[in-house]
Amino acid sequence: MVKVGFYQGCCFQGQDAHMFETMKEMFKRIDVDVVLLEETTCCGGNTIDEENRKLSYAINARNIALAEREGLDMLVSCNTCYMVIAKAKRALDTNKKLRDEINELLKEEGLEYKGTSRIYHLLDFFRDVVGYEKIKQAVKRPLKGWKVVAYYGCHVLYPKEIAVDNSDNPSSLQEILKALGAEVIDDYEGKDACCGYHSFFTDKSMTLKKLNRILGGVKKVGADIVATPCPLCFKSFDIYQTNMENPPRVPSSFLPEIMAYAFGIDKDKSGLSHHLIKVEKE
Amino acid sequence: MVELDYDIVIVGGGGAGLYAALWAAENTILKVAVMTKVYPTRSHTGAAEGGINAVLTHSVGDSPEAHAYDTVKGSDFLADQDAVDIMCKMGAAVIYDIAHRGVPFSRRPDGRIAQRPFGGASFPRTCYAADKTGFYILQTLYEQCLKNNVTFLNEWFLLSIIHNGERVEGITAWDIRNGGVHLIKTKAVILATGGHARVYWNRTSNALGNTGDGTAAALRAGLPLKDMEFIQFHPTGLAKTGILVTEGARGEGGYLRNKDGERFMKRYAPEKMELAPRDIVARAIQTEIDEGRGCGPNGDYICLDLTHLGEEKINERLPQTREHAILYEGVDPVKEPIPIAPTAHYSMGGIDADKLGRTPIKGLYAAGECACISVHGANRLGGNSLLDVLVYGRLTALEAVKYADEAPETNPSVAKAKDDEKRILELMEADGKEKVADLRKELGNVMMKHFGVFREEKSMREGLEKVMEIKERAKHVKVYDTSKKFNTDLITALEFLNLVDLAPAIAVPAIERKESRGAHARKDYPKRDDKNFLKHSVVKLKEDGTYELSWKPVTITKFLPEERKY
Amino acid sequence: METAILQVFRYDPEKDQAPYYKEYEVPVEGTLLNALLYIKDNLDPTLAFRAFCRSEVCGSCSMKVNGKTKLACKTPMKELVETWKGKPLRIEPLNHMKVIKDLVVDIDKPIEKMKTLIPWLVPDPRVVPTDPMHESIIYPEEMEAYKDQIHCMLCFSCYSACEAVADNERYRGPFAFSKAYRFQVDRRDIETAKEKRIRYAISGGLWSCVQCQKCIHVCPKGVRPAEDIQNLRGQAVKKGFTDKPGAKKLKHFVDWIYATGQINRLYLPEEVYGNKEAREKLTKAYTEMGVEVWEVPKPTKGLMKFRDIYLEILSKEDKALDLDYSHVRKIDKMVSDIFKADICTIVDKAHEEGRSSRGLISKLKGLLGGQ
Repeated sequence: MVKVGFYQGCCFQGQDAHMFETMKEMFKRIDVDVVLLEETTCCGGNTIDEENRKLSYAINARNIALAEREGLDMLVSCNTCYMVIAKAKRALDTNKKLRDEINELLKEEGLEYKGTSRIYHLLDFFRDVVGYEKIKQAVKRPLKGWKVVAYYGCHVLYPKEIAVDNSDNPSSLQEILKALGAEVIDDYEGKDACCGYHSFFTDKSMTLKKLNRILGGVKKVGADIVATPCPLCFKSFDIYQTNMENPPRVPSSFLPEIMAYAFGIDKDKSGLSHHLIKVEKE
Repeated sequence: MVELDYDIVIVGGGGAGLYAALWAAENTILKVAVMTKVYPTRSHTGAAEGGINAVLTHSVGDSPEAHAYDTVKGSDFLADQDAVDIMCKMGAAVIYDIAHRGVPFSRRPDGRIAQRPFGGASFPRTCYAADKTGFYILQTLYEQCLKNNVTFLNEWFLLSIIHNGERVEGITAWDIRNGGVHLIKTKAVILATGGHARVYWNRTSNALGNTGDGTAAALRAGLPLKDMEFIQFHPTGLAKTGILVTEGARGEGGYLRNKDGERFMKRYAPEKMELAPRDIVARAIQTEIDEGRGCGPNGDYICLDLTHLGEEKINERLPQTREHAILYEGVDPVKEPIPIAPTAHYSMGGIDADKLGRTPIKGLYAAGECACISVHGANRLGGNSLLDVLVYGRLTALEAVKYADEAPETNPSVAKAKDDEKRILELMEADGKEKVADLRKELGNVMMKHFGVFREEKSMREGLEKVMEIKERAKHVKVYDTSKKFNTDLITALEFLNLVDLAPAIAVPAIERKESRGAHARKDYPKRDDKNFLKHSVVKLKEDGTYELSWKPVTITKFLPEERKY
Repeated sequence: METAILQVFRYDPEKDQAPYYKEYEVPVEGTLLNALLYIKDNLDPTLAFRAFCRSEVCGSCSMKVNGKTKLACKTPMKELVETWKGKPLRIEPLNHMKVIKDLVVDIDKPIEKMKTLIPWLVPDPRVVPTDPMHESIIYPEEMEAYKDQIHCMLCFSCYSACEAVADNERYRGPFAFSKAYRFQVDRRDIETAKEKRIRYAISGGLWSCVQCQKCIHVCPKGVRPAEDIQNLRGQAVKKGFTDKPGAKKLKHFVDWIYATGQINRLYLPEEVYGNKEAREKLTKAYTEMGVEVWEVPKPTKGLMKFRDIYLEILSKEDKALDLDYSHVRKIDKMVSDIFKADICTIVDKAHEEGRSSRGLISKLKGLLGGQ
């Protein structure tokens, strides 16, 4: 059993807490014990950086320090949280002055950022820690006949200094989906486009154009579902899609959900049946 | 044939061209345009790393006179001292001016512009902006030109200069983007087209386009070129490409080794070793190669060994060197020595111009590397090229403004444009017996072999014959791309033909200058000969295609020639 | 010698009805630029592309390889072959600019767009002496603020890779914002110019950036436009341009994260777009799914200390007044109303309950089988 600290961000708490339960159950099937890092806070969503970058570094130094206190590596299952936290880690690891300044503040809470915990995103965690073979073995309900589009999202590939895969030609998501028994489609119009999640509250029209671009491409290749390792891309596809003028009604899935389903967890519990755009495929 | 009409046309969008444009734009209501064959920020000024020399108000102990003396001494006393005087006195003014416009000069802790020591300078007077001084200057000047709404003719290629024997009347140019020869009427022209070290095709640190276009056009228009035999060779160019390895690599403690692993500099400059002046190191490297102690299967390079510096120091101090060695030479300097050889770096010679950048044709000016004022004489000091570029960009702009304000309307004939059109058509219809790429490479090899770091009578005569033969064969090159838009095949051919026109202008005075002075190192005449050769060579292209050599005196005001010792 | 196949985009609008791809076999040696020069010298002199310095300072040779923006002189052929595992390499011109011919695009438009953001120094006469023989004093520390931005060489790689440019014609382009920001943090630049740049930046799509980070990724010179855009957004809000949705979103993040350690998706639509129904709709949707809806996240242990850190940083950066304390108090009141205690007590209680306290998943637990 591998133990790893789980960073909940905003997508696995509050009304979305059930997503964590799904994750926990799914991870159990591949011998991973995910330990919730309770006291962590929002990473700032790459928005706090607009207010002040040092604040973003401090918040995330604290988040990482909470994992370090438990002696655990940290698994971040959201692209944006991953990017923001990984960037903070880079800044803290390369800038001693910054690290000292922030550690001085963390002291009060009895915390210290040491740089000892590795930050994982789902994709590199599955590849480097779990292994594709193990995922394959855990499959109870192979996704036979499922045509699944692999959509990475931006913040696991860009910028290169924090990328978890080859940014130009990544393969980890396809490998995972293949291990689930799905037919993977990784070439479609709009595959490199951004999901538009982050512009929904700054320039909504941008989000809708992005969705049109990607989901239009997905529709063209006749896929059953889009799978993404980012809960925000998933929200954009599932929730914001309904804001489109003529939603193409393309179903989507956060990667752990579709994995849970393939591992034999109830469709209802996997989360797949709670989407706004119904996942009809069985 | 579209006609464009300006008062001043500046040809070239590098440091000199942009600074000229800026000073012209701010000092006149005349119509000024910058014509450049690339977008301005591509220009090779951007590649200048080291810095720019100037005596500033806070340079304790230093003086413009000291700067002038160092420059004249560095030039091996061939520089014109009245011009050097002007340039050195203007140093502070241009530095403060571009600093006020936003050039991010590196600063001392007290907030003043920092200065560092440089080869051949008696005081630390080289202002710098990290290791990208030229880049920042170029970007800043471009910003300022945008601010001043300067008119740009981007991606236009100079073909010919039109004059009536007395005054300039216009130019002809090829609009690269849309195709077509254009006649441009103008009262004044500032040539700021850069150097021509691309004559040494594969052995140069220069950009692909440093092909002396303005210099060649001036030569064809009957203007004199001065001191063309002087080409500065930088000792450390990457072996495969000639791309520069900064002097800093030796400054940080790099060793030069021959095929036996020997640090051979001990035989050439036992005290300074690798840190001896550029020309001495270049000659030492060339000697090792020539005498069979070069490295590699063909023995044609020397090893620059940084491995003992360790990865950390290399990453911290020489990141660009490491990146370039890996990218362009396939060698990681942390693990292996870098193959290097001398590389043609700077053209001291160029269009004959006086201390204010004026050519013998009224209204026609030259500034920067294409010009020979001469402020660099037989050898340029590091940090003086950017200064030259700015001082003469500004001076020629002011001269041109003054002239164009008073000058009569010009009336350039379309004949030249028709000729150019014909010439281009002929290129497209040529028999194609020769290929530009092959001939260009051959020219470069011939120039490097016979007019390289070392020169010698017999070899040079042979070399000149080969150059003239290549010039003859060049009549058979063909442009295969017959389209009008963005015809880079045509531009490549025109650039090559410019190089072919310039090569003999380097060869002829090189043969006749029977002495060694600055960058001109003759094995058969190893000493400087002030009695016979303290004078500028002047080359003109005659109508029959021969190159006519004459000489003209050097202006000496204060500094009498003495032995150049460091 | 190892070779690779380049499928090069060819298009001469004068002759060709449509673009096509031509294959060339090139040596896998040196950079992509070497390969293109090899084609031009040996295989096909008609191929058009831009190149000048050969050593990554001039910015001429950016293009796309299999859809990804690259500077040709900085891209080793070997790396391309390894990345694409023997697949042919499709070489194409940059996005979002008109193709003039083959790999050459029209860069005038991005330059014109940049120009509108005043990408030059407008000297403040109180800082920059008007006497040309006087030096303006600048301390090395203050140059840190723009040390990355000044590396922009106008290669337009970021413009080509930009998601906002793709879908907003008016968007200035990542590099343009970085160029503008460079002067926003230069003490020599006059305040009125800074104000104007922000105004123009907003009009030029400042809030349209999707923060995809591709501009940072593709920049060959280490410029970080997406982060400069964040900095400009911060400046915009600070200068009082608070009416745009993005500014309100930022306020939501700053206040809610301080108050609760989390953002609140239920309130985002209302606080940004004034959309009150969204909360009701969301609540309804969640309830239908059997998910208990908490109007505010339950404060966790450590929240008060977290607030200390938060405020400490803001104070240090002279931004303590950016927090809207009345908003925070309102949130505090919501918390105490829901949890029937004041915020400090709740946090203390969370402390006592230990780290396992999650609290809210009553109904959901049933759904998941009591785990």
